[in-house]
Amino acid sequence: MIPLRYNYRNLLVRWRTTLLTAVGFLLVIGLLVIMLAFVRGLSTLAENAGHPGNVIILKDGANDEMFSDINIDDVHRTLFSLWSTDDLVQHDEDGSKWVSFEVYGNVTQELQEHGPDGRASYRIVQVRGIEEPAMAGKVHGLNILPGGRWFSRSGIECVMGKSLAHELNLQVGDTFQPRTGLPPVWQLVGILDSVGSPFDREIWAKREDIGKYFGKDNEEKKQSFYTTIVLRLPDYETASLACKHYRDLPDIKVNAMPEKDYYIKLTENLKTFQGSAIFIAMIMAVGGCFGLMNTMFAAVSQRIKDIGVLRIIGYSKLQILLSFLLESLLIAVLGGALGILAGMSFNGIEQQGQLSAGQGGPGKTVVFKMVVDSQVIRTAFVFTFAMGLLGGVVPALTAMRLKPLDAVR
Amino acid sequence: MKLFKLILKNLARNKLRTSLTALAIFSLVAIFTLIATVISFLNAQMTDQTKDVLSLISDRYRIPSRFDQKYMDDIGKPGGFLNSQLHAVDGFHEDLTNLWQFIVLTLDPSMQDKDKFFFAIATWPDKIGKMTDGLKGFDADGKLANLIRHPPVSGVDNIGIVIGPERLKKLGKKVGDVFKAIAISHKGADGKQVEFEIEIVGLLPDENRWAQVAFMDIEYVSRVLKAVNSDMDGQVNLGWIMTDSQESAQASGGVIESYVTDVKCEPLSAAIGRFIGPFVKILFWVKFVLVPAIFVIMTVIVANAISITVRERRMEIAVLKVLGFAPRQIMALILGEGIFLGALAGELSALVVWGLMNNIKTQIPIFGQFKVPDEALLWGFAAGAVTAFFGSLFPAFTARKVKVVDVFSKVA
Repeated sequence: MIPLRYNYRNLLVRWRTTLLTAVGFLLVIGLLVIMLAFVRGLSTLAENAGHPGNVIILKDGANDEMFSDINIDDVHRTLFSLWSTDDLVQHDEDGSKWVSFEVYGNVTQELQEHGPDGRASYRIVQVRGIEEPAMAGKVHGLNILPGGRWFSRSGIECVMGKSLAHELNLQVGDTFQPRTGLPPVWQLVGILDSVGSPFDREIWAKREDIGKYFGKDNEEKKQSFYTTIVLRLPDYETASLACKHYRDLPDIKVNAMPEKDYYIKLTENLKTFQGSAIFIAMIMAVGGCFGLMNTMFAAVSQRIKDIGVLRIIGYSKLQILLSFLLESLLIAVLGGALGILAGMSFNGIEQQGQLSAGQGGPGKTVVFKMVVDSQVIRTAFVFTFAMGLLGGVVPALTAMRLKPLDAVR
Repeated sequence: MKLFKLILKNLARNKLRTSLTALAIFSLVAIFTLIATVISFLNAQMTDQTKDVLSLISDRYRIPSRFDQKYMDDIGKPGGFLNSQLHAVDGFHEDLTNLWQFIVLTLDPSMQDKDKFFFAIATWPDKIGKMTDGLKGFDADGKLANLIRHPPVSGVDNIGIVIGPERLKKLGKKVGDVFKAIAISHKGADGKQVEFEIEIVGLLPDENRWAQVAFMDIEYVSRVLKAVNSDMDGQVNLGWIMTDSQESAQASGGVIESYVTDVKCEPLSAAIGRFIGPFVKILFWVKFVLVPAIFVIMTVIVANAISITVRERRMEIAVLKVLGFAPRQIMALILGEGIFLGALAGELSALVVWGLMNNIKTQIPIFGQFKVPDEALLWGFAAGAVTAFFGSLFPAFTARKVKVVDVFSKVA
């Protein structure tokens, strides 16, 4: 039997050292939880984005709608028949198919507040041109918040994500002019109920407005483009099969994938971020381990006589080893658990991040909430135990090797 | 000096504890140095240059930028309207203008093999070394520019390219090879991908941000795009001007923007700042949460180690007091031990990180080699010393207050 009460009392007696070491653990594990919560939040947003039955069609070779353009003429000539005759594509009672034709892009917005030299400054805004707003809302599972409506085809109107509207300090009825002195002057007629979706920082307006005013159309050649076509099928399996069919079309080359897979692909850049977070945490953990070793070596050197007595009264070498290991684990768990608790307080905090398929460009800016879930907590506990074990094992071995008679002398 | 010798002796007495504390500081300063390098790099990118200021001309609203080449011709060529307007700006030089068109090429007809892709910038060949950030001094004698225009193997004018050695290796080609590449970014009027004939005439410097990129002649690209009636014919993605100072950059930008409303002209640092924008919040967390937390961890570890030392040495401290050491000297001794150990471990850590990272030569896409600056050696020293100072402060204060009577009464 390991002398547990003896260990426990020792930790209390040397409370200052115990506390300082535990604080070190608290900080290391707390930071690890915060970093992982950030990555987890962004990947959770990507995992939850998109409907399982949605298929996204882009230009051949494009993995990001930012780099896609499909000539509208090609769509009408070749692609349109795909869904117009396919009964599997979800449709309303009036027969209208759940297909959304979109042109997406990043544009620079000229800011009203000019710099000290009087010249304009800019910020990047995400815009999405839509053919049928209500249908796009259905396909993407988005509604307009009470008090607003979808933009009409006749007016110069737009709707925008809740987060963007909040940042721009705009409300329904306000106007928004991205290009100073130039059209369009959009009237904001609705705010998307988009929190937690990848559309929370987007402006949705007529496809023609985006094409014409933000260079998505080729006016010289009278060509217009969609970047993205999204259609709704019953489920993920049907969507996957349809994608294979679309990719193998003989007349037009397109890249089609289930919308779920598309957003997973957009988390490519997160792998680097996650790797960096783990790397930073590991190096900090090494520092924490050395700190713990210091504490445990001091504990061993202060208690050499105690160890000798314990050995003489019958405790085995293994029990001494386990006793000191347990003591280091207790400190680690105390600090680690507090670190996890501290990290958990960051759960749900809103952050901004970027999703990118790694094809270049500024990526897709999204608003997400940091997530401390069981996976993050598990990783933090594994770190805590590993640090506790690594920091305690060498001092515990030193304690185990002490010869009883030498120790009590 | 005597105090310093005493500090060294004391640290050498418990080598295990000294080593463990030093190792803890070492690892934490290492991570701090890496983070500080990233922050300083990003800050440098967003900091305005004071001379030879590179300004970026791009489409005012569209991303990816794309505008008429005629504007750049008008800016750069003598006799142009904009050129004559810009002549009035002090610090503007018409020969320091440039343009870029981006082309994504592949050697794989099925366009699937990522290793066969390469990114090319079509530009004026003699501006590659003069006007490219990070390539200053490259091709100073203009030999490569001449080879790009008159490639020796094929003899076809303007088809030469210079390419980064890393990308060339992946493509499985060598200097002198002539081959055809498909532009996945460019289509002709018939909807087919545009094909370019290419001769590799030289290499870009290794260990550079351009190690994965190729530069080709805009004249050749324009020729091909015109022949296939591509919508990119007569278009460029970016334009550049280099001016003497921030003032001349602002003035030139003002002239360009007032006459060409389709484009914006701003110092490169401002453009980079906008693209880094979404990461500003993350940088805030790194600067004001992660870095301070690393400092606190180091302080706690040092505080713990020095506290243990002071507790174990109460008797010794009492003896020193009996021998005439003043409380402030005792405090200086303990503080000195901590600071010396922290500064030494911090400096060693920064030195190792600096040496390792600058020898491994890790490449970051677009930004080039991840280089730890020489100033990092100072950061490591300062980080170690400052945290050790704060970590040792309380234990040193405790040591100062050790009462001789209390210590010896317990012994008695």
